[in-house]
Amino acid sequence: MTERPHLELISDYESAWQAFVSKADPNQSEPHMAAPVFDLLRSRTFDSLVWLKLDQEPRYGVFAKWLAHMVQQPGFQILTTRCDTVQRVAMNVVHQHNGSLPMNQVLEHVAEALRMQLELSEPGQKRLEEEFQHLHDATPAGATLYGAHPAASEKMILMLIRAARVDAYSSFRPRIAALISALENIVAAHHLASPESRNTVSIEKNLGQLGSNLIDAQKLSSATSHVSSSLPIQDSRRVRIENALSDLRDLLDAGLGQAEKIHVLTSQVKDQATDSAVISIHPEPVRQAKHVFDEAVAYTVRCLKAIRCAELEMSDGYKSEHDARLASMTWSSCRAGERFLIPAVLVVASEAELRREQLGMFLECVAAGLPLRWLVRQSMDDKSVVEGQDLGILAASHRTPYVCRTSLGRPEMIAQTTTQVALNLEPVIWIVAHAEHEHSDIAFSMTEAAIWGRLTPLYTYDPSCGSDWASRLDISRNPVPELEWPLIPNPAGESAPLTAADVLQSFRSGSQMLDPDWNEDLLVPVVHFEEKARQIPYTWMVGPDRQRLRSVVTSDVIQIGTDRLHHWHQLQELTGYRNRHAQAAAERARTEARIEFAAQALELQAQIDAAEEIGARKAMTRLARVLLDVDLNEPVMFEKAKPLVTLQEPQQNVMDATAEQEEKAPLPAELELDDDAFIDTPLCTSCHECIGVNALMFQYDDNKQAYLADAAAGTYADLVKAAEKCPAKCIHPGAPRPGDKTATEAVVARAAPFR
Amino acid sequence: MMKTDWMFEPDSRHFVLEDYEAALARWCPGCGDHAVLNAVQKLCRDEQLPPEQTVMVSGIGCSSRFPHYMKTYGFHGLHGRALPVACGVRSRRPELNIFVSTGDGDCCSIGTAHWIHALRYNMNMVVMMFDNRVYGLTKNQTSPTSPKGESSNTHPQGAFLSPLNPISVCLSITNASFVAQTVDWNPVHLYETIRAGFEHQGLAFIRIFQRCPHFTDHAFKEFKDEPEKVLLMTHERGIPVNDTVKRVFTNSMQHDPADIDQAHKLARRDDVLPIGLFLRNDQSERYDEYTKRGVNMSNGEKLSALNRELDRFAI
Ligand SMILES: Cc1ncc(C[n+]2csc(CCOP(=O)(O)OP(=O)(O)O)c2C)c(N)n1
Ligand code: SF4
Repeated sequence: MTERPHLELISDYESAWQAFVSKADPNQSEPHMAAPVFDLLRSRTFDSLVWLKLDQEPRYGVFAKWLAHMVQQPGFQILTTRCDTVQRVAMNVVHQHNGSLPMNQVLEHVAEALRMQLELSEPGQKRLEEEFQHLHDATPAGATLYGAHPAASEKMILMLIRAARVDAYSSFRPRIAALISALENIVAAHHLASPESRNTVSIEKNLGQLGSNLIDAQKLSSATSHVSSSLPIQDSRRVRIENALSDLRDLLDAGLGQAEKIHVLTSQVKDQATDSAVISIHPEPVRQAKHVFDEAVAYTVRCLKAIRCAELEMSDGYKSEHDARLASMTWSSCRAGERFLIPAVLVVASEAELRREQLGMFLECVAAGLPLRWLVRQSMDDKSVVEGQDLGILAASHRTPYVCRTSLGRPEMIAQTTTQVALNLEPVIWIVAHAEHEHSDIAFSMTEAAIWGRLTPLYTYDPSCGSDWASRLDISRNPVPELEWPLIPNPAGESAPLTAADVLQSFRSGSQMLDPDWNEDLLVPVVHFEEKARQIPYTWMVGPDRQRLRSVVTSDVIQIGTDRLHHWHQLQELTGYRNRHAQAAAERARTEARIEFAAQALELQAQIDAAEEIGARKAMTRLARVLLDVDLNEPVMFEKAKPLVTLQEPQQNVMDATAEQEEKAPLPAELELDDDAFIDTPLCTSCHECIGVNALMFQYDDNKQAYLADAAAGTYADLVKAAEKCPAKCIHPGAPRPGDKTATEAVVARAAPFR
Repeated sequence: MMKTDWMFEPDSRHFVLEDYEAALARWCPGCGDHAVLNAVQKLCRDEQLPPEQTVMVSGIGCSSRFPHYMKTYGFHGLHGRALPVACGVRSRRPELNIFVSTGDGDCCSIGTAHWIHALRYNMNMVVMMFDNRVYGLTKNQTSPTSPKGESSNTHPQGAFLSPLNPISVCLSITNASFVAQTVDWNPVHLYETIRAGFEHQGLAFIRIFQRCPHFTDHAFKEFKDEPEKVLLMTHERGIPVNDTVKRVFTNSMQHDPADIDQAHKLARRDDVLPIGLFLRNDQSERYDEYTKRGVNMSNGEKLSALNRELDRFAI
């Protein structure tokens, strides 16, 4: 869902601003929400804050905006008018519960809050109850609401990965069962052919009582060894099959567990309620992750070996060289349908943590292509935002991983990418930015603002999308990706770029505000700031009394802003939105086109002038003739004299002309006799006639159809004889080779019909 | 990043023409049977049919030596009994690819009853009827398709009766689903016809005009020398024809294989030799849908079913 909304914002801006000012919270003393754009962003963020997991089909597709969407359906009245409150309460409740809560509990909280707030009359209360009942009924059973809480992204990722793995397992299960039964059949066939099955006792058992009365088991036993046509199975093969069988049977039982199990490694103490994941807390989660993966992958490889072995046995394709191949097999041999077997290991770490002590180990895992999953949390307070570090691009430069850099304000992006890459065989890295603030709505407005100000640009790097940066890296989810900064109306009502400095400035409390009567000449909007101009950069803020004030932007903010712009430029360059060479080439092409256009215009003008002159002369001549009463049908003098013809005539002329041409035309080349001998191979019926004449001259190709292998390997007489015998008449002997003594007049005459 | 390891693909068995070639064919040089053999081998290769999953069934005759020349499973049966054997194979081994080779004598003379019922059963298989208009193996006797006046060891004065028209017979059999005609001397059309029959789900009956250089060398001479006497039936649901075929057979017409009336008329024409697909009905019932029931029963289940039946006779 790419937002390109600067127009939308402009149209909404004024009303949102008004609404914000009128609803202003008098207790909020600090001008945190200074830049008015945040309020706007906040209303946008609200839409996507609360979302939903459905346990039914389509299970994992519908999340965002569900609640808001629901209460605006026909049948709701009170809840429709209170849509904002419903969302806000839901969001706060979810937030208090570490980012996710079953939907029915959320609705209880919302109902409670509304009852308290609205002080409805009795009929009103009844109506509200009904609407809530309605909402309950419309909610899928087992649905969970996720809020944009730092923990929610983790829960969401775990839930979606697990779902994808379990789905993959369910579709693969019948395959395991089929392999098992195929192997069992092989073993059973062996059993039938085994010496034990031929002894009298087992024959008697097989014949049953009725059969034993009719047939002498003793005699049958002595005869069986002679009539049995099955070869006994070799011991090594039996052992191999039995081993594979036991591994496959084990997998049939344990596969679901394997699919469901996700190892979560983190250095932070966590909420233990995170579903059924295996959580390890470890001071060095990265090292531990590699260890856990290596340990768990042994099982994967064992299963894969058993599957391959069974497949080969099933089609009777197991050869001795497969022993070595199976022995050296690794997890990377995993096929698409089998990926639930790959151990799922999720490392949850803060950006700072990874960047400092564990960077080497992290990059080592990435470069090695280990299919680990990384959830990197980036706090907006973290120095990395300020210092402009970008772990995502660093990792992407290793080319192997899938990288998704996003923010908690965009839960749908996390959900979409997770569904897309849950089963990838590459490393997957999510970098999720979030802001810390006591009011969760403000925190999320901040994450959104950071996106708009290019502080935390959104992108995905998908190695499966092509071989170059431009195809792999996608920054289209950022607002107006082709521009340096998005354009936003400022409080003065002008459309102005929203820069990183604007956004950063608004995150800071206590910045210096300027009196409204400051000398304008000394001030410059931060986007136009140049150091040598000696002006003071400012950005708009909201003062304690809700008035608009300019605030002074300090030099460190300017520096960070410049660096953010460079980072953004880099991303634009990598994705091809900005390319110095392309721009230069385009400029060159434009100049060339301009020059050529000018030349053409000159030429055209000359032609127009000439035509005008001729036209004028023509007109004058005609005018003169009219005046002098001359026949107008006669051609005008200075045109090339062309006879005027009636409509029928030209057709006749054409026919005559072609008839004439045909008479004179020489024979077309194809009609001349072919000089080189050849076989029209597609027509050959593989009948052996020509081969019988001369097996060196005529040979079969890969389709067992004859071709002229070597015209020099035989005589012209051979060629003609074969041509005569060929039932498909597809041998063309051509002209005799010079010096061929067999090419008598008679033979050449026989060859004629085939040439 | 591509990581999947294809070293273990069991489909890595790849078959070339030689994988389907058994003994060197002992038919006379110039015999049309060679062309059919080659077409079937090419089809097996192009479809990568595992040899062990493919069966050639035949009766008796020159053409019925076909299974010996294919490196697949085969059943060289009794005279006229290729089709019952093939139906039996189909009944209990529905996963196999079945090709039947039979001659005009084998199919239209001694095997006539089986021929009619096999077409009605419509079990999935390709039936190639090699029509050389003579008994070849037994050295030149009149066959049901020998033209009137054709002399042979049995009718030195020439055949008394007009020949049987196998296509008209097939078109009249209830439930027939695929009836085609082709010639051995155009390998492209021959191949495409057998291929269409193979892709068809049901019994595909293909009459192949087949030259016998020894006894009936003259039989198809006029059609070979004057290819415009061959009428190429084309249709989007018919036998695909490419430029090589069109170059040779310039005389063509559209025939919808669903149009049974026109098919009958075309089959009766004796001024031209029509080749292509006369009839195709994908809706025809298939007996093998019923006969394959219980194929997956284990030995134990079969035994207990047998016991159950026998118990009914216990006193
Ligand atoms: C029951 C029985 N009757 C007669 C024969 C003798 N016989 C062998 S082949 C054959 C005719 C085969 O003719 P056709 O089917 O046209 O095959 P072609 O040899 O022409 O390919 C006959 C009658 C036999 N083998 N078995
Ligand atoms: S004689 Fe003609 S049809 Fe026969 S093998 Fe040779 S080229 Fe092919």
